[in-house]
This record gives sequence, structure tokens and C-alpha cells, in this order.
Amino acid sequence: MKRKNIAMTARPPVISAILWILHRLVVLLVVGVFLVPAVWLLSISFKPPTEWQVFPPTLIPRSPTLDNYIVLFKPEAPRGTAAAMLRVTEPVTKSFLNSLIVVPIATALSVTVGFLAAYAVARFRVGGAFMPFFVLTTRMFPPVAFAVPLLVYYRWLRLIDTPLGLILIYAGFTLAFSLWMTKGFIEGVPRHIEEAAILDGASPWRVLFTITLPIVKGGLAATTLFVFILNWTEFLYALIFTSTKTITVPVQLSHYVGAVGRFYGPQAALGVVASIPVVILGYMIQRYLVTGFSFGLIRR
Amino acid sequence: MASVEVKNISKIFKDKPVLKNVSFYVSSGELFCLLGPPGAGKTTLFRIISGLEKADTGGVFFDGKPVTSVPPQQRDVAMIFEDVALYPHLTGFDNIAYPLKLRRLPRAEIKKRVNEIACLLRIEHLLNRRPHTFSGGERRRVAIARALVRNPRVLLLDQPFTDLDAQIRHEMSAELKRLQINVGQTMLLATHDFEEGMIADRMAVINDGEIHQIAPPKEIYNSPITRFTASFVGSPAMNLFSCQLVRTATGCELRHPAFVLSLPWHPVTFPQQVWLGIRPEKIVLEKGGKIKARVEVIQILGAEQIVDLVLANGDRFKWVAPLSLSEKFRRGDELEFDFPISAIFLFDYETGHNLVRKEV
Amino acid sequence: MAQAGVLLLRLQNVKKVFNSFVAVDNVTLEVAEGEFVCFLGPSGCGKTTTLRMIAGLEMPTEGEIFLREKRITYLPPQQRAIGFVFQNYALFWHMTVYENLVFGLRLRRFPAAEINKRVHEIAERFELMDLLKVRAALLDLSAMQRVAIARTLLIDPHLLLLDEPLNNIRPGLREMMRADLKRMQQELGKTMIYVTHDQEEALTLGDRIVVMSKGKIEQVGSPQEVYDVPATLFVAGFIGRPPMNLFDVQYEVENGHSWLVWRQHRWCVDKVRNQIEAAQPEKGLVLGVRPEKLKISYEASGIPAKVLLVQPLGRKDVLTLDLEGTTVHGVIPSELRINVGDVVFVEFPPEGMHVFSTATKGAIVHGIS
Repeated sequence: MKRKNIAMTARPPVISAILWILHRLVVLLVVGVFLVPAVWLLSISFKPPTEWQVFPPTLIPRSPTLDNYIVLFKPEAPRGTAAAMLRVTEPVTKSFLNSLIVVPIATALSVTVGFLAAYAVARFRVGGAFMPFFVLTTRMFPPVAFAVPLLVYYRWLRLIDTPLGLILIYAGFTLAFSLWMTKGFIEGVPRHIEEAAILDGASPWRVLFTITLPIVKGGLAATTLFVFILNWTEFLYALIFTSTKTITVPVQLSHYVGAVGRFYGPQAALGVVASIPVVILGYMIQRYLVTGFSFGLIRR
Repeated sequence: MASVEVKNISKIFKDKPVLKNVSFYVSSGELFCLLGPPGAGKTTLFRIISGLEKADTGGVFFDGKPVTSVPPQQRDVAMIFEDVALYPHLTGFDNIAYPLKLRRLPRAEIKKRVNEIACLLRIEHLLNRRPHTFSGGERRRVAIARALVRNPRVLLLDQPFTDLDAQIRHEMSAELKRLQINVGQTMLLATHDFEEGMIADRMAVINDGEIHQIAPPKEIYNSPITRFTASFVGSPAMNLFSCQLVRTATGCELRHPAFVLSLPWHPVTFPQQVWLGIRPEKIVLEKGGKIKARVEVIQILGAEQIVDLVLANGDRFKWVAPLSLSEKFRRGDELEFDFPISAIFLFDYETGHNLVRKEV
Repeated sequence: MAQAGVLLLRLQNVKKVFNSFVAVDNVTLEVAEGEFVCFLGPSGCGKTTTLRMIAGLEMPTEGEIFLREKRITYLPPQQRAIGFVFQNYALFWHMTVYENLVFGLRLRRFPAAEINKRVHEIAERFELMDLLKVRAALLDLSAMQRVAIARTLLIDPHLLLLDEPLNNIRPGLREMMRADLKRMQQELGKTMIYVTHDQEEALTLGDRIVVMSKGKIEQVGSPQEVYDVPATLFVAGFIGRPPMNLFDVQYEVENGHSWLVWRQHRWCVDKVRNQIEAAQPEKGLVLGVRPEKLKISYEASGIPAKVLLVQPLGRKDVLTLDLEGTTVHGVIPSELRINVGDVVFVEFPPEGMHVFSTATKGAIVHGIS
């Protein structure tokens, strides 16, 4: 029989109620603090250039405008004197498309390979006791250290400024995360369940796909979201390994810094728009997330 | 249903011998119990029989044919693990159907067989639910259903009832026996609770990787070969007193700090120190008896009493007294007992072996 | 409800509700000093919740709890001086056994010599001497539980609460520890409340047993009482292994005599007809006979039954019989060799026949002679 809300504290109901309110208030406060930048971003995205650097800062724009959003997609379109300040020539659609191609593929690749490798390491001790550590070494150096040698390879392989090039880099560098995270979830699956499947007659691949995978679904979802965010927001390598054809959204954002100053408006607007895919992904897999994060903690 | 033979199985794990030259034979359709304390090697042995682990030496044979090189998937062995190991993401029905799906049986056939076995084990109401909603006993039954639905050659149960309520454990033991009778399944049961194992046709007592005795349960209870077996099987455990053994003209004498007993027979060999063993229910309250002890604790168990007594030298022992004697004594009383000669066991102090007697 | 003796603990109309689930329903109980009380019942009956309320780990929704007549209903657990042994031991993983044991004593600033003495005493008693320097995380189950119990005793609490502590210990060691616990409790005179679902354990340990089901107390009595004179159908069916055999019977009056009727068999209940008639027998009666009391033999006196199953238990065998279509359990000494498939004869001894009311589920009379 499941019991809900077992009171862990020992105090009379009145104090309980007061604490309940206080608890909610504190949570609201903390969440609020984290939300401030996002809200601010939203606010600036609707402000005309004249209001970008107004002091004291205002939350609600006095004359809200959609120009910032429009200029992202149709740079020639803005009207009015303020519009003259916005002199970006390229629409963001290209960078968006690039991101939408490179990031999901790289994420899928990373998580898939990571999961399979994690299973090998967790269940069959492939690579010995050192393997997990080895994999982690890829993250131990500042990313910039790899940039030069990789650039040399890439030029030779003619992968600079290509989607494939970026995919490989993103998949490679997030592999460590994928492996480590999924390994934890796989180890949370009691061995006996897999052994029962073996005795039932399942081959090792069968066990992996019909037993282990469904159980760690949540963990995989959590890992996917995490790796997706890492890739989506990655700037350094995108900057170095792309020039014109395959720039991604973060690089595009950097184009809004001009000699005259920053174009906060379009930057904010692009930031808002760029967040949308991540939010959608997060929403879609959120129910898996809960099971994913809690499953690993369940023992016996 | 296959017969199982285990021959000279040894296994060392991290420099510690876990199994030492274990051998036994289980006939087809037999319910065989492997009885021993935790750490005795029961689980390791089962894993070797099922193929999940390899032995260092020796072999396993099903129906006379070696299976050592057969991978676990193909041995057609089913095992119920101590923690049951149901597939948590599948319903009861899918859990039971899993092995059949692997064998690519037609859907209609699968449905029929699953329903049949669910009916036999009275778990039809669980078919549409997930394992986390089942009670302990229900999970066991679903696991057994999943194991039996494919008619395995051998069924291994590794301590299947340990964390169930005492009442349910008793019922499930009976159910297991009923299954064996109805289905004729070869079953091997590993447990540390001798009561669970008493329903077996034959029992092997194992300790520290070694087999002490293989015999039908009643024989193990009435004629234990080693001291370990004698004290492990029986509740309350057999009383053991450390005594000196002295040869006499009429047989032998057992010298204990608190009493001296004469026996009209003597063992074939004469170790100096022996264990005198007598089961608590065989002790007789007798005025003028040679064994004098003080009552320490009385525990009433429905139709009988378990009395803890202490001898003059501090040794303790237990006595099972019928309830008809309940008003006759109290905590702190000094009572006198007799140990009937027919109920006395002698075990070598060093080796633990039951000493064979030789009439004088 | 209290024994002769100083009143230590009193629960008054205690009720606990979780959302809409009533875990503990109107429990009133008194515990005297020095008693060994067992809360007995199946999983989910409210025994652990009640125990936790006494400890202060849960708060009652209604009702009061008094310790030596001081109201402790909402007092935090650390101020109650009550020891608690958890089902999962709750030992300090990274400390050694010795450190685990001395933890409470050090907190309460006992002198070092006293601490040492007490710890060594208890370590001997609980077979922990070789383990004093071992880290708690490395211990095996039974050692862990011994340390958990030892730890609470060292602090000398008013009252010790134990939540099924012997659950995971193998049968051989378990009996030894039960006897040890009982002996220790008698020597120390410490009041203990012990929660268990194992009725055998409760019967052997308890001075008094509180049988609970679905949040309510079914009966409070000595082990002898709950076994010989069960107050309700639940207690009758729960206490005793194998459980009491129960039959639905009818009450008939014929030729000036009263009878209990089951199938074609009848038993005369003239001697207890008043009690039975006062309990609305037309609503249904249940006849209960303990397996130990059934007279089973090969001699043709009694009702014939076929032996379905023989479960040897060492000193005695438990038989499962088919008595005219009803499954019945009986107990015989091991020496009698009865086999599966045999036909035996079963007699119901009048002094061992309990009658219950189907309507109230309560006992009407114990023994019809």
C-alpha cells in the first residue's frame, strides 16, 4: 500500500501550515531569481533601440515593437529612424537551420554511442577498470587546447565549415557525458533482471534492447536533454570550425556585436527564438525526466 | 523434465574457495533442497548450474549430457532469484509471456499458455498490472509463472521466500510442493530455513562450500551425520554439550562439568572430547534425574513451551515442554531431567562427525 | 488494561490519517513498566505507525500519548528519551562498531570509564567483541542488527521501541537472539514494545500481545490468552501456525437440543446454548478448531479425510487434508508416519471448538463442553 505525504516533521498542524506557506515563498523567490535574466531577455526583445540602455531599467517597454524579431528574418525590412541602426545583413534562418541539423544529429550520435559503450563498460567491463577514466580525459583539457590540432586535421580532411565536421566534433566531445550519465543509469538496473532475461533465452542484444533500454528510458531522456543543451549552446568550436556556410545560432548571436555597439534588441530576440527548440524538447521529454532522475536513486 | 547431476564442482573466488568438490544427483521430477547458512555457496552453485557463472573444475550434466559448454540462454533452465527480478516495465502478462515471445510462439498460443498458468497460480488479476503494485507473495507467484510457462527442464529457486510474512511463507512452501506433484517439475530449492526445505524429497546440507549430508529430510533430522547438520536442522536447535569421553567396562562415560552420564554402548573410535547432542523435545523431566538445571526463560508457543535452562557450570540448553506441564514450574525453579539414551547423539569434537556406535 | 505495576505509557484514542487513508483508528492502550509488549499484525495494519507515534517520528491526527502521565503527544523525538531500533538498522556507516555504540553515550557526556565498561559488557552479550573495530558498512546483516539493538540499550531509555528488528536474520540465529532479547529484557527490567508480523515471534517474546488489523486493536492479552481464547475471528485466524481451521456452520434446535450443523455432521451445544442464542446465531456462525487440537488417526472414529500434503517440520508434521471438499490443516507428531494419499479420520474435540459470530466477527464461546 503506497502512503502519500508521510509527515517527516513532528509538529502540530498550525505550525505545519505556516511552514508550508513559507516553504512555497522561498521556492518562488529562488525560482524568481533564476528567471530574472530570462524575463529581462524577453523584455528587451520587445524594446526599440531607444529603450535598450535606458536607466533606470524598465520591465515593460514603453513602445513595444516587433522590429527586433522581424529584423532577424528580414534584415532589409525595418522601418523608422531606429531601424537605421539595425544594419545586419543576413537573416538568421540559415544559422537556425544549421543548428537544427547539426545539433540533433550530433546529440543522437553521442547518446547512442555513449549508451552502447556504457553498457559494454558497465556489464562486460570492457577496457578494464580504467576505461571510464580514460573517457573522461577528453573533458579534462580546456577545449581550446584541442582546437589547433583539430583545425590542422580538419583542413586536411576538408571538413572545415561543413555540417559533418561540426557533428563529429560535437558528438566526440559530449561522448564522455553520455557515457558517464547512461552508465550510472544502467548500473541502477539490478543485474538479476537481465540475468532472468538471459535464462529466458534472450541474446545479449535482445536483453539490451528489450529489457535494459526500456528501464533506463528516463535516464536516456535526461542525458539527451543535457547533451542537446550542451551542443545547442556551444560557441567556441562553432566559431573556429565554421566561417560562412555552417554557422550556428550562438555564432550568429555574436554577429550582433558591431563596431558601434551591441544590438541588444535583436540579440535578445534571437536568444528568445533560440530557446524555443530547447524548451519544446524539454517539454516533450519532461515526464521521462522525473523517472530518469529518480530511478538511479532507487535501491532494493 | 531433466535430471541434474553436479560432479566435483569447485570454485575459488578471490583466493577464497567458495565451493569445494560438490557433487550430487537430482532425479527428474524431484524436489531437491540445498540447505545451508548464508555464504555457504548455494547461490554460486545455482548460478553455475544455470550457466550464469563457470565452475573452476567439475561439470554439470542434464539427463546425463554435459552442459558446461552450453550458454545459459540455451540450457532451458529457469531460476527464481532471491529478489525475484520481474521486468518492471512490463505488465504481469508480458512478464510471463516474455520467454514465449523469445521463442516466437504464435500469439494465440502464448495467450493460452499464459492464462493457463495464471489460473494455476491464481494470479489472473495481476496480468494487467505492473510489478510495482504487487505484494511480495504475488511477485513470487508471477516469477514462478514466468519460469514454468515454458516448461523448463530444471527450475532453480534461490531463497525464494525469505522476505515474506511468516504466514505466507508457509503457504508458498505448500504451493511449491503442490506444483511439483501436479506438474512433475524438477526443482532445486536453496534456502537457509530448514522448515522451508523439509518439503523436499531429498536435501543436501551445505556449509562453507562443502556438502555435509544428502538424504531425505526426515533422515537428516533423525540421523544427522555431522554436528553442523544436527544443529542447523531443527527448531529450536539441537542442544550440544561439550563432554569428555571415557571408556568403561560397560560402555562409556560422558563427563560434563555439570553431570556424568553412562552409556551402554561406545563409539568405534574414542576421541577424548565429544559433543553430546540431544534435541530439546526429547529431554524428559524426571524427578531424580541426573541433569539439574535452573529455569531462565519460558516462552509459550501456543501448544508447547520452549524453556531456556542453565546448568551449574553456566552452560545453557533448551527444552520443549508440552503445555500440560505449564503450571508445574516457574522462572528460577531448579528442575531435574533425564536424557533418554536412544535420543543421544555423539559427535567428534574436532571433526564434527557423528560417532558410529558399537554395542558392547 | 494495565498489568499490576507502574503505568509507563498510555495511548488515548490515538488516530492517524494519511490523506484519506486511516492508518490507525482509535487506539487506546496502557503499558506498564517492565513489560514486553508485542504489536502483532499483518503488513499495513498500523502497528509500525503506532510505534512511530510513540517515538515521535509521526504525529497523531487525533488523540493523546502520555509517558508517566506527562503529555508527549507533540514532543520531538529527541526529548522523549525513548530508544528506537529501526528495521534497517540506521547505523552510522563509516564509523566502527565501537564508535556507533558510544555515540549516544558521548553525546550525553558519560565518563570514559563508564562508557568503556558498558560498551564491553554489551559487546560480549551480543557477540560483538571481535567486531568492535570493524566499520559498520562492512558488517553482515545479523551483526548490524545486534549493533543497532545494543546501541539503544546503552543510553538507558525509559522505553525501547523495536520495529521488526529480527526480520532478516536466518532462523537459527534468530531464535538465539529472541531468547537473548527476552532474557535481557527480564534481567534489565526495561520496558519494550516490539513490532512484528510473525505471530510465533510475538508469542515467544511478549508478556502481552496487542493484535492489530486495519488500524484497530483486535485483542490485547497474554500469549496464552490470544492463543486459547481469541476474541475475534481475525485473531483466531492469525495466531497459530498453521492457522485455525474455520467452518461456516448453522445453528439448529431439534428435539429440545441445540446443535451446530456442518454438512451432515452435528455437534451438541446444549451446554453453551445461552451464549450462542444471545449472539444472533441466525446471522451465521463460524466454528474454529486449531490444527493441534484435531484428533487424527487411522482408527475409524470421526470424519474421513484424504491426506493431500505432508510438511515435516522436525518434531511434528503438518498435514493438509481434504475433509469433504474443505481444506483442513492438522498437526501430528513426527513419529506417526502418515503418507500422502492415505485416508485418516478426524475428530473435533468439544473443548477445542471455538464458536464465532459471522455478524460481529467476535468470539461467542471457547469450547462447547
